[in-house]
Parts: sequence; structure tokens; C-alpha cells
Amino acid sequence: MSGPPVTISQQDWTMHLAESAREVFETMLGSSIELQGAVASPTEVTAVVGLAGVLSGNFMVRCSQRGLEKMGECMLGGPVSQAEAIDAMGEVCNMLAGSWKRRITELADGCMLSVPTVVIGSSYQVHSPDSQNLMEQQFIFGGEAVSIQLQVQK
Amino acid sequence: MRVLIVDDSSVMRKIVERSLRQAELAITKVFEAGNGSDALETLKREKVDLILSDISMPIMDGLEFVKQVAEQGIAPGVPIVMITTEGSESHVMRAIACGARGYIRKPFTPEQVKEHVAPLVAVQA
Repeated sequence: MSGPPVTISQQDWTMHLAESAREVFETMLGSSIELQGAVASPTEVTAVVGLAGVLSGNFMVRCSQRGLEKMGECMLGGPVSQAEAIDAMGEVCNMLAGSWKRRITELADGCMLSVPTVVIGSSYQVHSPDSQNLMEQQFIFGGEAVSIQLQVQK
Repeated sequence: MRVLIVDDSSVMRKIVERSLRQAELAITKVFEAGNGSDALETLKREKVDLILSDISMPIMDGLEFVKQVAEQGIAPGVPIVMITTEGSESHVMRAIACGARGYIRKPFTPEQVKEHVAPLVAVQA
């Protein structure tokens, strides 16, 4: 996989991410979402999918513990274990990244996704080497704030 | 119909099974595997009528799994449908070239699963 690096505009990010988020949450979780402006990002749980190729960086979904549980409950249609909730959130991050990537022509074939990783805790930050910028979109899912972030490497 | 579902996510395996049942595809037995290597071992022991597989998995990914099914002559004639987030045209073509008979992009609805799977199992019957 080769090609010149791709630059993602804020417009590409915002527009396509909103479409992807609605598609994933409505199709797989049976839930609508409300986009919202910037507020403090939830940080208790972070799912990360790596991007490599013409665009390199990290695609992240962040939420609270309650948001994590809600994702699992909505995907499986009932109470879930912590392990199942973590698995569900990893899959949500994976599908969001994939759905968003497919909407940008240069990325569809030129950028691969890693398997998702989920980190749980408090008082941590996520950094990548040479990260250029951080684009973020937040929304409300089932009363819980969810943040989707893209860290792009220079 | 006996089905093998291959995905490293146990949650996704449950969702695929649920979608197959919601699509009223007369499932009688479901086998699960978390990667292509485990899936090959399952196929050596069990007869199935349909295989649904993710692409991005550890140990052995879905494309290698499909190639190995063909090369080893395991489960001859059993349709394999890929279910994956990697949905570009080139990925679809690679999957078909490896031997997959269908391709479903995540996220998906039960209706989409039925649309892709039903013709393949009807042909078998």
C-alpha cells in the first residue's frame, strides 16, 4: 500500500464522521445520537484503532464507564459483562473507523486499520509520536457523552 | 443449516448469529472460531453449510483462512461470506479472488445478511 500522504480537512472529518456515527449507532446499537459542541471529553474508557498507510495515526472513541456498559447492552440487547462491554466498544470503534475511512476515496484502499485496543482507567492521556493535530467530535448516546478523536501523525 | 462464524470478537459472533436467526435462515447449529487457524481446525472436525468470516483477525486473517480452505480442500462447495469493516472495492475483489462467495460490510442489518446469504444457501439446497 503506497501513495502520497493524505491530508484530512476538518470538513472531511466532521461531515463524514457524523454520517458514520449515525450509521453505526443506528444500525448496530439501535440508537440515535445527538451531535454536540466541545465539552470536556469523557476519559474513563478509550478504544483505539490504528491507521497506517497514506494516513497514519489513531482513531479513538472515548466514553465513561456507563457509556461503555450502554454500548454493550445496546449491541447485545441486554445486560452484559464488563468483558463483553469492552469487546462491544472495540467493535464500535472498529466500525466507526471503517465506515469513516470508506467515505474518503483516498483512504478507502490506501489506509489499513489495526485491531482495536481498549484502555480503561483514569488520569491518563493518549499520545502518538509526531502527532500533528487532534480532531474531535462529540455526541450524546443514551444520555452519555461520547468523544471520537483522530490523531494524525505528521 | 450448520454455520461457522469466524471473528475475533465474541460480541460480533453473537450479533452475526442473531442476524442469521432474524433473517429466518433455519439455523440448526452454530460453530464459532476466534481466528482463521481455529476455524480450519473446526472445519476438519465438523460439517457446515455456510461460513461467515471477518477479515482482520490475529493469528490467521480471513483472507488467508479462505485461501487455506481452498488449498487444503476443506469444506468443498461450502459458501464463505466475508463480514468485515474493510469494505473497499479492492478488499472485495481480493476476498472473491481468494474464494469468498460474498461480502458484507459492517455495520450491517439482518436484512443485508439475508440478502447476501439466502441466495448462496438456496443454491446449495
